[in-house]
Amino acid sequence: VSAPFPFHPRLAEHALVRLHAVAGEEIVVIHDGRSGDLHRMGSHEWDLISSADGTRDLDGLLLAASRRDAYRRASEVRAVLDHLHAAGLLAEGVDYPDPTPPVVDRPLDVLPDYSLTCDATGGCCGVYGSIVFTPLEAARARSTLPLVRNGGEDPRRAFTPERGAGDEGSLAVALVDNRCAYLAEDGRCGLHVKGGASAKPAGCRIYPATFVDDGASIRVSVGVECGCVLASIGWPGGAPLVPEGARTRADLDRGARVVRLPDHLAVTADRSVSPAELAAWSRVVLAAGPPADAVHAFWSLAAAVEAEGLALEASLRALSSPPCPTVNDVLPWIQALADRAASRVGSAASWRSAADRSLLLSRAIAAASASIRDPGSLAAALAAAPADPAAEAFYLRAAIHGHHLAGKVPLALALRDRALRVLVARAMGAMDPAMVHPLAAVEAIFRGHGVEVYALEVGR
Amino acid sequence: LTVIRVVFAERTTRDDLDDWAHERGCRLIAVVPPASDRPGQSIFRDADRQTLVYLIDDARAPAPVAIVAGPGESDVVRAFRDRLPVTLDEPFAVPEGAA
Repeated sequence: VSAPFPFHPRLAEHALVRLHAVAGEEIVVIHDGRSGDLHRMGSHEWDLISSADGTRDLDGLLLAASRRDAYRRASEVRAVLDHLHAAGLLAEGVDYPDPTPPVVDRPLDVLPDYSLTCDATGGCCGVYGSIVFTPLEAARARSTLPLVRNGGEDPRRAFTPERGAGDEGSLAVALVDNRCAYLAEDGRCGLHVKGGASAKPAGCRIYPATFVDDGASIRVSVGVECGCVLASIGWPGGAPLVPEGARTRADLDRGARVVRLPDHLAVTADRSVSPAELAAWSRVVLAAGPPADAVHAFWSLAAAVEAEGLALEASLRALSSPPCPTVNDVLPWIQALADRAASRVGSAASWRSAADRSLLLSRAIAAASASIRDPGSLAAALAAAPADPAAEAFYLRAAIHGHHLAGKVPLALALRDRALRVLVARAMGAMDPAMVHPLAAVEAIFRGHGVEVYALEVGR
Repeated sequence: LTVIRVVFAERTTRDDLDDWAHERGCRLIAVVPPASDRPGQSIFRDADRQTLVYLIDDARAPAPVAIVAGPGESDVVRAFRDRLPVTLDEPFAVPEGAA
């Protein structure tokens, strides 16, 4: 039974509206954060329904559209709303966000021996579907560069709500061929150039550091989603992941997003652990030292976790001489991944521009996955020596230290997924030797564009 | 107060009326929900900013009806006739107390 049409329609919080300029054409894309579905409309349709924040009935929405000079037909507004309602993207009335949990200060546990040197070419500013600004940061950006999309005069040309509709809360910047609208042609951040680092949103200043609260400390690590992260390995003198002298959470930039681990973390379909157990396990795994082959290490750890949970001895044994996974074990994973990646390319190619970096990288991932989806090719890929063992070992270290594997899927699945990511990155490098740090591209696209859900499909 | 009542052919749809308003530059300024003593109305303001067009939303009426009030009523009625199948336009005295 479908829900009744809401009296006071509100674009739901899982509706992520994004402004895109695609090869010069303005379009609005609504990503459904629950289903992964994508809905396209023109900027006119967005004007019609952008006031659907739960405070207006249909008549009120007609009037809001009229005030915006967008109203043409009542039936047009109703048709857009009907489409969104059928897609499960409308809710009733106003929303009250959950109260923010009290912030508990904890010591920072920072990934040791690492600093980041950004190459300032804007590679990471053209990969993601959402680049988030606080209202203050957006106001500052519009003031610093008012002519960018004429955002100084019309905020709606430069920003949409991060979630749903309405005038409150964080904002997502418009993307031009998927690049941040404030990114200059030369790849440098226009806001940084004009106003200094403080003119950028905190999320950009902090990127790619990650912060996870495990109840005892805040694990500070780095998301391996930008080539600079891997290029910085072994190069001291870059920017530290936290401000100099920072000791506890209170010392972090206020914009730092600290994710709190839930009390129960799934390690397999039927077994969960506490954050403290995960923290202890991660310390032991890290103490084992860098693996010779990250694919073998991830896969072997997954098997140990599936068999014995987070028993420390079992995980240490798994890492001491991890065997090469068998073709039969990996085959369903690579096939599911290749299917998902191809589907993602099909969807993205229907509306993204040829210059869109996320599309280019998605295509490379799909091609690499397809290249090893038959048993023979997969066997050869599994037997091949790692092309960049230091980068892959760092990837494992950053993920384990940062608790990146906890949360979305059971830990055992996450470990196998990471083995696949490394494998696909190797295949990308083999197909295009000029590609620098393909593992970072894999990470960015998997997380930023929903490819990672394939692991859930295999897990089922 | 005298206004003009315009009756359209039955086949005239709300989309036709919306299209007419859009092309003329009339702006929707209010929507009055139906009540026991009145039908629902969508109120547009003509480009002269003084003349109002009330589209009457009455399912019981056999054909769409608009009420035009203001200094530009003749212009508006002419514009209706130019574009839409108008079957009747007539002065209409607003009842005492309803103006």
